[in-house]
Amino acid sequence: MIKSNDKANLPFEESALKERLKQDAEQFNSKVSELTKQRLAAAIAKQSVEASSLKPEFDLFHNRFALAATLSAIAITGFLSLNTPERKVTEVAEHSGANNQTFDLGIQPNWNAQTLSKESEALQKDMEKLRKRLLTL
Amino acid sequence: MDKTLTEQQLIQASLNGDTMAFQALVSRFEVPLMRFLNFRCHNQADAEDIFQETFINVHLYLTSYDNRFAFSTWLFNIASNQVKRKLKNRPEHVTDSDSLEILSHSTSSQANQSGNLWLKLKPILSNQQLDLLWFTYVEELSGNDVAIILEKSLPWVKINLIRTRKKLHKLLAEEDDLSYDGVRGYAHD
Repeated sequence: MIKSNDKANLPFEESALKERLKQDAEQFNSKVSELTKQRLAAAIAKQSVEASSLKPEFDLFHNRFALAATLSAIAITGFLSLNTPERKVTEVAEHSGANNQTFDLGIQPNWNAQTLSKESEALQKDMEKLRKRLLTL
Repeated sequence: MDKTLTEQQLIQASLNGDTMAFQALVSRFEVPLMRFLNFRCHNQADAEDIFQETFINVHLYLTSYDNRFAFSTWLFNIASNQVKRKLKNRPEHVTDSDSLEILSHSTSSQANQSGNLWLKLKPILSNQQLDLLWFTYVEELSGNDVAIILEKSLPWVKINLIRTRKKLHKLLAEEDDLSYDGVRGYAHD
């Protein structure tokens, strides 16, 4: 057990200095922004989930979310900007940011804009199911 | 969350997965931790990043917390290491404009930026000496607690406290001389 009886003793005449150090330190007081609090709460929730039996569901949700974001990016930067909806993912890859990681997420090279649109809808339903599942656990 | 719960009760509840208890723990130490981080960081964004990282680490390693020590000692030890890591490649001392940027976020209604003793100490003390002085006088922690936070021995804390106080006295003596000269100057005018 560590004792806390060895505080640095200031001579009595230095009490004013001690008071000034404390008072000036108060000028550094500030509140934590709401954004930081929200980020912290999200990080803590993620840690809690990862440490629990929910991890498989959480990983699946994370994967679906990443897939949704990538699909969105491909649709916007790839097919729409090139105005060639019939072209396949591989053909617009360099304009859309699609890479090996994209295909690891489950996007097939032969998908076109129409396929992406259908997959996006299916994915949204999938994510909603997952969200409800996570909330009930 | 019940405000009468002790620190140890909040920690135990957090260990049992109670996120509200953890939030209460964060709220309880928000003010002293942010005050220290604002003092040590170059800007409010760095201070908030380290605040967040510190509590993420607290949550992650809470099972390894040894309740023979005060929670604040453990918390400041983590925060101090986070500060070192974050500011590793930055200049040792901040500029006046950096410090004033931090103080501009201050909630203190009596902010007197130019006369702030801590800002005057920053250019003449090392970061370790600043931490030593801060934890001793602002947080009023024991030598043992300060040694744990700074990961130094108790003799190191005692010796360096003496050295740091000498520098502090020198600064104050110079400050006195200047104010005396200022009075004389005024009299001559």
